Amino acid sequence: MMFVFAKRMLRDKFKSFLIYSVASIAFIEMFVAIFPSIKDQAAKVDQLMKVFPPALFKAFNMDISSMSFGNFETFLSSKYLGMMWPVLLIIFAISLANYIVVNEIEKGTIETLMSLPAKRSKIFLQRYFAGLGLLAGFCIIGIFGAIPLAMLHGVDFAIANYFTAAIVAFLFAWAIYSLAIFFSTIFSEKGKASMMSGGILVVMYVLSVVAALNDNLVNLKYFSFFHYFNGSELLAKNVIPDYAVLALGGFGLVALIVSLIIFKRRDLSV
Amino acid sequence: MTNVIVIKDLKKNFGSLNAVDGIDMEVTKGEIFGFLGPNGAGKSTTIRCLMGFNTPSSGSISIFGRDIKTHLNAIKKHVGYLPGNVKLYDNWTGWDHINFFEDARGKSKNIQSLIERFDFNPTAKFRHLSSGNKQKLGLILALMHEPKLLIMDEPTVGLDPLLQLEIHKVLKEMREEGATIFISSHNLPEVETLCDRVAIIKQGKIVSIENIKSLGEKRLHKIEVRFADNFNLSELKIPNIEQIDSIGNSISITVKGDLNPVLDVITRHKILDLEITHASLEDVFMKFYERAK
Repeated sequence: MMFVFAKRMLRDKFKSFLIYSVASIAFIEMFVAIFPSIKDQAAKVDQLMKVFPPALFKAFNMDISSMSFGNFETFLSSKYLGMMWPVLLIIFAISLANYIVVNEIEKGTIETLMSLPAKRSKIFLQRYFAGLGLLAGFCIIGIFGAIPLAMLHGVDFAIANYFTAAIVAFLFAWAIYSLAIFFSTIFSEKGKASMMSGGILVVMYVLSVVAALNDNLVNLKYFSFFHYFNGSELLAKNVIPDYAVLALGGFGLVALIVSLIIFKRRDLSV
Repeated sequence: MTNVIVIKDLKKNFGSLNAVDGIDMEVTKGEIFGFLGPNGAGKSTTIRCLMGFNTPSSGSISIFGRDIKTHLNAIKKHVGYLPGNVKLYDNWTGWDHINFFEDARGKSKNIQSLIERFDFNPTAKFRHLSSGNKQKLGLILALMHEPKLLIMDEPTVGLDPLLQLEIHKVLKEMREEGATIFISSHNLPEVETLCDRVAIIKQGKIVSIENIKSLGEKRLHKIEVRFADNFNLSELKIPNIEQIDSIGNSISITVKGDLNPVLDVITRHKILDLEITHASLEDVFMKFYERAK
């Protein structure tokens, strides 16, 4: 069978995919349900926001000058895409990446896979793209899932914004997934791989905050995925940030190639 | 005779540790070849290099006359692999594993007969299986495509004697059908029962490659004798005596080769009891290890 390894990966991780997708839908539902009451108080909330020091919003990558909580996309961006959804995405992407290599090595099941007559690259790529497919599905559900819920609650929405957000969200997911794949192919213990992937994402987040707060260090933002994926504004502004495709997509592709080379050469049994 | 496995100057280093240190070996078609050595001798590392799990630091391995560096995928179509403690997917049932292997290797012709032969229940999840049943599943997966070469790394560790016997029977049948079997073990009676030839590995180097029959010929004898009178040990200054232990008027002598010079000496005395036994294969191998020190 042609896609035996991809098929098996999809089957094994489908349950996780459903759990993370349902969680993201549950968060959206929570925010959509409370939006009408927020909208009624939008003028007061906007006024309240202006009382806080601007640096606080900079730390969360938010530009409040152009934002109003009377707008559904602004509200969903700041509350959901700026906080909850990236956390779900990061955990899901790292767990998928770990499952592809390091988990198999740690549990010793890699020997079973590798005793089958298939090239290492075939096994790796089929599993990689199956995982990427699940991530794409998670992005689609996590972004477009807001539309039917908004309709259900009678909330106005701007559909174009969701397409833009989905593209950037997928690129962000791909970059994180590829980063985690890289550590999954390097290490033989799942804990170490997760810690490195998570640690680097934390460092990237800190870099984006530091760059926002300190004009002298502004260029550090280019080293952070969170600069290209600014969830707090993404749905509201309907703009693909400069270099996002190049930086996130480029990183995803390069990390995939490097990981594949490492996987083909490394000792799989330790 | 066709060589199925040819290993030339194989080395595998992990940093400064030479796990395998320049081994040469040939395994002939249709034989059961034993690979013996204590823990950490380099048996599993050699097998992992054979299967392509680990890349050799230097040297070459060819299987079915083809280099594993360039033809590993084609080679693995005809190779079955069974590790000691089989590690499979906890949440998959036996059928899930079997179907996955069939998807990857093609439809199996003998799966039902293997399931029946090993009295295996394929509906249970792997994590719910006993260690014996886990090993049965591993064996079924290794045999279900009727491999020409079976590579096994301590396959009967921790199994009950009945299952061990069944596995031995299967391996002998495979040999009769022309398959080649490479089996690493430190279970010497198993090796003695199954193997045609054995390689002994110590600290990453091959100490000896022997035919099991010729090993038998090199066997040691143990003579245990109880004398009615006093026996002076200095009378036993005979070159082929390997070891003497004495308690009172009883002595235990380990003799290599011809027994007659020893018997000539002890029969000069009045004997109350006498027992001559073959030393075990284990004693023979221990001699190899001692010699290699």
